[in-house]
Amino acid sequence: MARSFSPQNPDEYLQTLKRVSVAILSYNRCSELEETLTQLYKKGDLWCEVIVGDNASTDGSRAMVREQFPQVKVLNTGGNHGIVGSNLAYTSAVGDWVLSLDDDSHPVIESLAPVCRAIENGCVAAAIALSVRKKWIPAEKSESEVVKPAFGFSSAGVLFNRKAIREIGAYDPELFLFTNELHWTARALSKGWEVAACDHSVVIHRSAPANRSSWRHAHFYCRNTLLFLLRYAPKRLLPKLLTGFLRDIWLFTLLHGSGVYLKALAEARKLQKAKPWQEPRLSIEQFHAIKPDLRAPFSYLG
Amino acid sequence: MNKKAVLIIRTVSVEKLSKALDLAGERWPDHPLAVASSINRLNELSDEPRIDHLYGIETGTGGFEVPLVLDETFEAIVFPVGNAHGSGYGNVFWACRSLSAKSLYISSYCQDLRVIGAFRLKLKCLIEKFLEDILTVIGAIGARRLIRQFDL
Repeated sequence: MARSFSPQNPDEYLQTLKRVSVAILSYNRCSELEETLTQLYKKGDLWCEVIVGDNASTDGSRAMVREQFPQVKVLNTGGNHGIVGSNLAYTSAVGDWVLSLDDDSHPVIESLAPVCRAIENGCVAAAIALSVRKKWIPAEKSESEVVKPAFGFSSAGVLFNRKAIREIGAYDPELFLFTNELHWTARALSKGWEVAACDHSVVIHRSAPANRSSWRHAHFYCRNTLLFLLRYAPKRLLPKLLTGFLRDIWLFTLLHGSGVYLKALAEARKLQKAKPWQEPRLSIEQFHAIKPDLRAPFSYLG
Repeated sequence: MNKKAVLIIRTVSVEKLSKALDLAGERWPDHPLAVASSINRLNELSDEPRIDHLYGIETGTGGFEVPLVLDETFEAIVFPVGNAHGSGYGNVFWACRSLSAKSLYISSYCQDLRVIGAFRLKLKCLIEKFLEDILTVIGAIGARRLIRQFDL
């Protein structure tokens, strides 16, 4: 029978959070991490555990966590290995679900009741995308509380089903940064899992300006999007998709006067050559449902 | 009488769009501000108090592929771009070609507002489209090579 929380106890859903581990990717944004942890504990110790996957920050992030939040587990990757920090935190989590956050994002705890209800009702999705926003206005109740099918998410605010992490694995570490969610979604869908979303449950992404370089965005987005096409695009669509993407690589190389896209192309080929791909491809329907934005890599430079 | 809205096309991140909203608010303080954005980002913008109207744009894997058709006539249309001259935004300009407005503006890096004539904008689109057509041949050759190399 579907579980609903008692209207007499509006905070009942908070008990579900004891089944949720929180995994935070952190790199040199100490004050942002502090804000995220403060927000997570503002209603008390609600979570199964909180884990910080730290990419060897040098700004005192780990010391800050040890001093101010001794209950938080910090895992050091030993270097800046991008999403490996997330992977470490996801795979060491013990909760049934893992709430993934960036060091500059935090959940609006008051908005989590619908996803908690979905968890209590035995949701079998691989991941539930939360609504990642700049701010949240409590008076607004217009968003649907329904947890519905979706085809993508952001690591800054998503609940992973730990069973799915065990079966599918975490992010592909060679991606380093960006589009890792796209690749993971493709892996999940092609292995028969579903991804869900709940617009009502909100994560605030404060989008700290530190560590956001346009060059890195352009490089990793371009390289990883090409890898996505090579690895997951349906065979029938591949000639057309690759033609368009390679055309854009040349087009934006000329328009932006930068070699970054050609370098990304060379790296993607190298990675693909080094690791023959055995995973199943997406069906045409799944690919269209995901609808990857193949122009996104070219919107960071100019 | 109701003032005509100023339409901003969201072609940049939500963070950068905020700067463009500030610029438009200062330039047209009495006009409502409207934003056209891809449907998947509407949620993020729905809480933004400076936006009076939101329009969803159908996008495909190539970004702005479907022409944006709106019955309204706007005071101005603003194209925020992440570079100096709007290079690489030809598909956006092309998708907005049937919109009607008194004037068109480009906001370079979301830091200024510069009038741009409809003819110049069209010319930009055509040049980019021409380049695209030529480079499609190179793309097709590259695609065939990749497919063969990796036995895809």
